[in-house]
Amino acid sequence: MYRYDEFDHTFVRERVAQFRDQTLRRISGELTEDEFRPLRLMNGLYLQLHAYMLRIAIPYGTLSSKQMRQLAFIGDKWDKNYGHFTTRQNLQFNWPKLEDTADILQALADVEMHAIQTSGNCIRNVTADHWAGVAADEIEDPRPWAELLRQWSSLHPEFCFLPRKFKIAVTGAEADRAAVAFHDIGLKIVRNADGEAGFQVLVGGGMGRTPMIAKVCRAWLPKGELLSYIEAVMRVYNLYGRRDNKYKARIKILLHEEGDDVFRKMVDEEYEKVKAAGGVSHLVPEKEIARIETYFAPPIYDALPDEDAQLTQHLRANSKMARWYEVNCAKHKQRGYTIVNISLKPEGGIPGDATSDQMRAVAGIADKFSLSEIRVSHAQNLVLPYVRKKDVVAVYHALEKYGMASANLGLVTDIIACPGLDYCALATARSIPIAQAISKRFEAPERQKQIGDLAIKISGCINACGHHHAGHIGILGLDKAGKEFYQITLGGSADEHASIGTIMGPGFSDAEVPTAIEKIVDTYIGLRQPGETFLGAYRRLGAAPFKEAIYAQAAE
Amino acid sequence: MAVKKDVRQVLTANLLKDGLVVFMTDGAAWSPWIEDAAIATSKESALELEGRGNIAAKANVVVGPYLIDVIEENGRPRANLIREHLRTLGPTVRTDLGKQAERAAGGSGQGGAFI
Amino acid sequence: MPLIKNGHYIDDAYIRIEGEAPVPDDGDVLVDAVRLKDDTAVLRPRQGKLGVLLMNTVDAEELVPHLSKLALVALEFPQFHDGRAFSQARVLRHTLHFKGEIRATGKPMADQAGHLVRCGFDCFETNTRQPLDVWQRALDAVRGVYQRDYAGLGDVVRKDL
Repeated sequence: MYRYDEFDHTFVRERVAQFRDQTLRRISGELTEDEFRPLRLMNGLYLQLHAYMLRIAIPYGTLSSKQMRQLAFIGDKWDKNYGHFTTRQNLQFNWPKLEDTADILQALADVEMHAIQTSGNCIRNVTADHWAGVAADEIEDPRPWAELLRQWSSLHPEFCFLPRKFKIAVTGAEADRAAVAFHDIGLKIVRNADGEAGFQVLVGGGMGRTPMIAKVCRAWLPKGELLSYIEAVMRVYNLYGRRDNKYKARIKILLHEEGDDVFRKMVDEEYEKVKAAGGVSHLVPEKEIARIETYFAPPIYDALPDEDAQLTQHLRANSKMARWYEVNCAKHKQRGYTIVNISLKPEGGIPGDATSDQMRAVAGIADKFSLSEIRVSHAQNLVLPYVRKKDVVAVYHALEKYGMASANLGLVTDIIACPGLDYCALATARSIPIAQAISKRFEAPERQKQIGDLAIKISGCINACGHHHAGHIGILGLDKAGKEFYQITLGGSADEHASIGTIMGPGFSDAEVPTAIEKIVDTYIGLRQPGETFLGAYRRLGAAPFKEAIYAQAAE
Repeated sequence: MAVKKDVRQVLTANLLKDGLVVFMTDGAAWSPWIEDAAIATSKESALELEGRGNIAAKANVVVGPYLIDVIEENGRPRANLIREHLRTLGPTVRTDLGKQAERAAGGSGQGGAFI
Repeated sequence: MPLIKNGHYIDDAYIRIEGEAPVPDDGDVLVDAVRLKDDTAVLRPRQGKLGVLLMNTVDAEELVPHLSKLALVALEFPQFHDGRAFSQARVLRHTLHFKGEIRATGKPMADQAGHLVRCGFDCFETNTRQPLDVWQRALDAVRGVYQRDYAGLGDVVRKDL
């Protein structure tokens, strides 16, 4: 993975010192809260319901074991011994003190991490396919470009005071595991007719109160032109994006109001100007991208048989482990290796939370069995990308010891949930208790297996951090006269066939939600054709049978 | 919605230095416990509380003070809205953390830590 | 409001000509950009420099026909977080190669000093709570720049990028 050089180190250290100065100026009163708020947000520091919250960037979800250990250390020293992995592949601490924040950032800088631009109206942490570099279906590892984007967007002189936040996601694979169509800019590595790899550039996707699927702005862009082209998109957005209404300020609204063709023309014209402006070439210097690429070169793999005889034997003897292997381990591009997905969704647990002890355990396992590398997925799970099949048994037992061997990846209990009203100042209702109740309801492994692929996603407010619009089943928590209630959507999807869920009808109380979900699931099982997934069945059948199932009783 | 017969409001904020939730007391100090909060029973007294809160915000002691509606339950104020009630407890999914945990350990009410 | 340029407070040499008020025969004047379009008197040969105030809703390209006659373009920050002027300055400097003064007016913040300088601003309006030394400190805070052609004076640019 990428390692900081002297320039990167200096940059992050200076940024920490600058934030320390800003914090002191705030505490002394030199800065008012109104002035300080955007400055602290640009370093990921929020004021939430119970305390401050610090959001730490995990660029494109790649993390070393050393970094993971440092996160555990920070959790123990300055927080309450745990952290929360988010849908943007970040980590949040829920209880830091303002006075300690600069020390925390310094501790992060020591391991080449930061919290730069994890909030605020700027380009946020760039996310990527969490299986980048190891997925069997990948065209190219997108992470060198994600790292380039991380550097390029850091304290960008022109684009740190945008109309609204700006999110970029990158994937290099056929299957979209990074939800690129739901980003302000989604980048997908594709081949053109000549077989050359370039970027398909999608613009204007997003969730929030006006969910939209991104539009293709460039079908194929030479990779070297990436930064200049994005500069053009960003300038058009910075100059013409709406600033009169924060709910209409995202780039998706500009694109929608101008129309796809006009917007594309605006970008193309600006891009021509960028290219013509002279000075430095508009191309990313090959030397620089080559420098970054060396950090992401594939490791030297052991030459192994595709199947490990001992593993096969163990799996035959231990059905629980066999099930976990089948559900949580994915096909690796290298023979004899597998991608181990660690579920942070124990039945009835808090989605995405990990204790410092668990973080250290994962770091230790990664050191022993995964070349000291870990990934964070936008589904709030962790990944060990380089596990030899012959080590799978040892990995499984080590995870089991720390309560991290739930065999539910992509199943009904692998629920995405934002922190909701248990932590978040913007939330209108709680998310986590709903996730817990549904998870409990469906905890029987056989039942989960019977149901198959099902993505339930829960947000505690319209901002949609829990990605409810993209859930096969989406749940949105709202407030009605001081009481929590929950709206259900069906048919959303974040993959390469992205779709936005449809609202079923009136909302439910917290106590009613698990039963409503159960009725939806039972309806699916009753009507599905052989091999048909929930999403497939919904797309075939439409909303009617599901609506009938959940509202029938009320009508009686 | 029920007709509001009379005002029952307390003033809340977060402390600047550590972000923790506090309530303004009769003595114009800040307490972590809503039980210690001064209860305004008229529009005038609510405005007065708000004024004192704004002074504390200007003095960089607290951030974003605001009034919240309370009801009295067993003679103690309880926040009306769930959001505000949760601020007096902590995360409901981690009852080992926040005010609810300190309360369980006997930390609440008169005699709690004043700031 | 105090003005900062080249690390010093400066006196504002420009007289602000509000709205349709006549432009005097001498002295440096600052006029609204719309007057360049339809008021030839503004562009007549006269003693003194000409500056324009460009609203942040207007394209910098609109100044192209008169750019050679302008010594100053003042851009506005109605709120410090309204960042349109960053792009306007960038376009003026980088696309249109404007060499005169670009002034940040309204409510720019010292903590934005690095961003302002790298986009091409060289003069800043400030308030009493953010004196010169705060601006200087902000400017010195992070000297490294990842964006190769946005470097201001004295910045260290990411090598090769």
